[in-house]
Amino acid sequence: MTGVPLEPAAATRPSVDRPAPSLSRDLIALTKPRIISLLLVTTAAPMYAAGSPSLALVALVMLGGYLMAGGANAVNMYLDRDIDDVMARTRLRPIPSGRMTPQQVLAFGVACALAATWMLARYVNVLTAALALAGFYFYVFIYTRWLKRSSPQNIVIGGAAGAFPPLVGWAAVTGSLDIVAITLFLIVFYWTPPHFWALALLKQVDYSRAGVPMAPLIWGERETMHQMLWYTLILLVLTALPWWVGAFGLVYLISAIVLGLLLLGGVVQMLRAARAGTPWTGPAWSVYKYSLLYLALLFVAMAVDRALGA
Amino acid sequence: MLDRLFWLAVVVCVIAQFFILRAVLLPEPAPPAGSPAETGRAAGRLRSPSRPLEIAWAVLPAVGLVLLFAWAWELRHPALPSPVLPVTSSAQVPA
Repeated sequence: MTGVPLEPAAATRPSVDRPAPSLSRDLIALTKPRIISLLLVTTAAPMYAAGSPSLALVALVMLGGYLMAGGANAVNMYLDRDIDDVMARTRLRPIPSGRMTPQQVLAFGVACALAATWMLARYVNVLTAALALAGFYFYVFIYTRWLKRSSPQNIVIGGAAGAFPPLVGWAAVTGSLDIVAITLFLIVFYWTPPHFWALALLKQVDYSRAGVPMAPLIWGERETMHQMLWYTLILLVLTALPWWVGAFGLVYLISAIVLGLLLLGGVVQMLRAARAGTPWTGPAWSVYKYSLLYLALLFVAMAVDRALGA
Repeated sequence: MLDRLFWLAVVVCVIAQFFILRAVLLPEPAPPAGSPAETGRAAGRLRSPSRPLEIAWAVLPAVGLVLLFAWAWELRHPALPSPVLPVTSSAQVPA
C-alpha cells in the first residue's frame, strides 16, 4: 500500500442528496458491508454448529472473513468500473463517481485479501485461510472476470464464491470439512439463483445497458422465474439433508421446512402473477428481500438447534 | 421411512435438474419488442452464450448433487465389514 495516494480524487459528477463523501466512508463502501453482513452470518453460524468456538476465534474469523470478502468486493469494483458507470444502482460507487482512482481501489482490495490470508493462516489454520482465499479467487476470476459478462448462468456458477463462508467457518472450528460442511456450501449455492434472479428481473434495464447477460435477458422473464422455482425446490430438499444424516435435530428441520416453504410460496406467487399478466415486480421484490432473511434465519436455526441439543 | 424420504428427495432433485438442463438446451426465445433484452441485443451489447459451456454449467452442479447424495447414503448405510478370514500358521511363517 505504500506510495499509493489514498486521497479521494475530485468528484467529476454533480453531488446528489446523500452524506458528504469521505475517504473512510468510501473505503467501507468498497467492501459492500451490507452484502458482507449476510456472509458473516453464514460464517459464524456454522462455527457454532460445528462445535463450541471461543469468542476470540469467532472474532478472528469474522474479521478475516470481512477483510477477504471486502477485498474481493473492492477488486470487483475495480474490474467492473466500466459498467458501474452505466448502471444506475452502481453509478455512485467511489470509482465511477471519481472519488477514488482504479489503482487505489485495486491496491485496497489486494491489501485486504493479503491481510485476511495472513491473519487466518497465522491465528486460525491454513485450511481456513486457503478456503477464504479460494472464495476470493473464485469471485474475482471465475465470476467477475469470466462468467459475469459471458453467461446467463453467471450467478449460478459464480455464486459458488458466496458459498465459501460456511466452509470457512466450519474449517475454523474443526480443521477439516465433512458432509455437513459440503451440504452448507451447496445450500448457499442453490440459494443464490432465486435470490439474484429476483433482483435481475427487476434491474433488466441496467443489466441490458451494461451488456451483462443476466438470465431474464437471455432466457426471458418467464423461464427465469421457472428456473427460480427449480432451484428453490432443490434448495428445500438440500436443507433437509443435514437432518437426514443426523447432524441437526427437529428444531432445525422444522425451521428449514417453514422458511423454505415461505420462499417457495413467494416464487410461486411471482410466477402466478406473471402467468396471469398482472404486475409481478412486487412479488419479485418480496422474494429478493425475503431470500436474504431466509438464509440468515436458516443458518441461525442450525446454531440454535446445536445449542439446544448440546 | 427415512429411506423413502431420501428417495423422494432424489426424485425431486432429478426432476428439477431436468428442467434446469432443459432451459439451456432449448433455443433462446426472441425477446419482446422494446424490452431491455431486445434493445440490448439490437445494440450489440448482449450476445448469445456458448452452448457447450452453458450445458457444462448446468450439468456441473447436478454432478455435485449426485456425489453429495451418494455420500449421504453411504453415511447412513455403511458397507458391512468384510469377514475376517482365518490365517493359517504356515502363511505367517516365512519359508
